[in-house]
Amino acid sequence: MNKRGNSDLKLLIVLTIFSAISGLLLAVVNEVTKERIAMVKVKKQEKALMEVVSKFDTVEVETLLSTPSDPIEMFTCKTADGKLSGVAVKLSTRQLSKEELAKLGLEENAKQNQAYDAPIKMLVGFSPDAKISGVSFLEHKETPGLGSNIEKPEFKSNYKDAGIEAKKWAVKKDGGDVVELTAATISSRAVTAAVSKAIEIYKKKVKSLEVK
Amino acid sequence: MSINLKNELYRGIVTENPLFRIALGMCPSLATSTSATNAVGMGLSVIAVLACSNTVISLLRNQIPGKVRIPAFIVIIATFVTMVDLLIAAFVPTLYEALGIFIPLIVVNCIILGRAEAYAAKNEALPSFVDGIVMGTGYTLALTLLGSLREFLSAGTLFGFAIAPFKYQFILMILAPGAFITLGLVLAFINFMQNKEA
Repeated sequence: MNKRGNSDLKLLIVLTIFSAISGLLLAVVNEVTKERIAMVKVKKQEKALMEVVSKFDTVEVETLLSTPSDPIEMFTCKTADGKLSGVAVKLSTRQLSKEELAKLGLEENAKQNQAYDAPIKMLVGFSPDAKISGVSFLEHKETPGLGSNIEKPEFKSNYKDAGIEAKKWAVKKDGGDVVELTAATISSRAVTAAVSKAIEIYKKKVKSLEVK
Repeated sequence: MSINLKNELYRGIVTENPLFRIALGMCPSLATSTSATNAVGMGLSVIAVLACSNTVISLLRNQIPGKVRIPAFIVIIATFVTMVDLLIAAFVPTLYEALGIFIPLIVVNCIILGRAEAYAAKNEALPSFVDGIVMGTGYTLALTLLGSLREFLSAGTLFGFAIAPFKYQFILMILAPGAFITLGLVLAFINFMQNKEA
């Protein structure tokens, strides 16, 4: 009895030590890599911005919803002589609460579809003539070979150069105009719902810009 | 202790192939064998993680009491994979873009735990490292074979290049049933060849 109690205690101690060392190691590595990872993300975002908005020199960032790690932002891009080259909305497929939707000026029952895995973070670019100039994905964890095909140009062309009112923003299965990916309807739906959310945000913001 | 690399490679690729003979880690394998490129990406990630986790576990094997070895292995492997994930994301972002999506799948891959339990827990560090490399190689080759077959059957391409004389699409093959059918046929063929030899 006593002996057994001792060995159980030993197991407990060994596992605790292992977990503690693991925790420490992870904390150190996280600390060392945090800044660099953030930098890589910023660079990636810059590249994505250049992909979805045509030539520009200055960028103004406006935070529309300041959720840590997953904010909704609007980038207004202009050329050196002050001409508007385009606007990009950064958002994700995360499910927004009613309060958040209200804050953005969106309808309470705006369509929201979650991704297959973690929220897909993306940039949606708009040209000055109210067309979608492109969609670029910043981060996603969709299944390799199925959901990850959202990155393919064939899928992105659903959105590129389409007037914001020109298409019905839903996948074909739901009666819309977006050709969904085979075997990745969930991912296609999530991206499409996010794009239509971006369109609504763009419409609201651009109208208020005009009023100003 | 000397290691016969040729024998070891033969063991990893043929007699103890993790996918076709030991049949470990089926779930992520079925998911990542949709194309040859994906299969190679997943395979390379597994080689790297398996070689390193085998080495670490072998070095620590005398410190781990037998009763709690499984939780201890899981803690070590999960810590290790997370560290690799963060380091690659920070220092080699281009590699991360290509392989990053496979890393979460490796944590749950039972090949890693299987080799820790069956080999690294009983052997010295160097042979364990070699075991990781050869087992990873066997896994990569098997997965690439599956991926190539499925990619060819589903779209007539290989590594993204069209090689079929005409264009077609056979969606079933990139879906889950295609994975089971292909794997089943390959296994049947291997068993058939083996029975014939015997």
